[in-house]
Amino acid sequence: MELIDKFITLHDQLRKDLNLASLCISKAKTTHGIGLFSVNSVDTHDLEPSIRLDTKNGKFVLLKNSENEEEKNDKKNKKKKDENKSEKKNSGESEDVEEAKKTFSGQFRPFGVLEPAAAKDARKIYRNSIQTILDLVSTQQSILAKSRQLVEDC
Amino acid sequence: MASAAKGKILAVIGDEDTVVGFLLGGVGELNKARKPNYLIVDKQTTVQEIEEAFNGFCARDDIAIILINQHIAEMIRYAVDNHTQSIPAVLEIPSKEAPYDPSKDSILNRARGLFNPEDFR
Repeated sequence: MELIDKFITLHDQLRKDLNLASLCISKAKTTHGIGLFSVNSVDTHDLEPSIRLDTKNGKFVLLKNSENEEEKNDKKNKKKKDENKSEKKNSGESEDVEEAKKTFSGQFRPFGVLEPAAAKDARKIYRNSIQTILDLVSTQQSILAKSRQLVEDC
Repeated sequence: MASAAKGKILAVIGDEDTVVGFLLGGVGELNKARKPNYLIVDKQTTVQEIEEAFNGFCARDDIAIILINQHIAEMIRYAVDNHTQSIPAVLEIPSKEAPYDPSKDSILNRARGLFNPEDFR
């Protein structure tokens, strides 16, 4: 029963996170147009996942390189911003955009490189929700294992 | 083997907002065979298409978890219930318009026979 309680609690947490993320997406749609948010209107030919998983001892875990890559990207982004500020006088917008595009290659960015704050928030919330999902699935697997064990004992 | 070495990914079957949200989160992939790991379900999507996508994701060895909106899982409940393998794991999630109902969850229903059904409500 503890596993069931944990499962329900995690699902409630996931629901809250997804509701908040949906609100952010709605804000982004309102300010930047609904059409931009369609998957069909965005070029996804080079789409690559930045989240990868592994299973250890029956539990689902994020691969460390997924987290490291994200941290590296964050650091790169900060560094890029600092460099862009110092080079603002010397470089044109097209160069800045091109550099940013290289950094974000493979990512899904329906609003382009300079995405609105609401979209950034939504991205962050969805990314953080992945850990909740992994915990949910791990708990789910535990529930199934316990169920099978109880059936066998009976 | 190559996919196992570099980890597995998630797949998503849901409405547009759900799929787009998880693509924002970094889940999306278009593999070398030009097959995506997501399916957007709208009014024109048939049950057969949903089932084919679900079965396709289950057969892929690079997918560890399938996320599916619960109201869409209801449309192919028989397929979800027939999936008994531990990997890929299937997780039913809420959507913007349809909240999660524990009493409909396939996994919890399997365990229901061992627990008091009232506890799920």
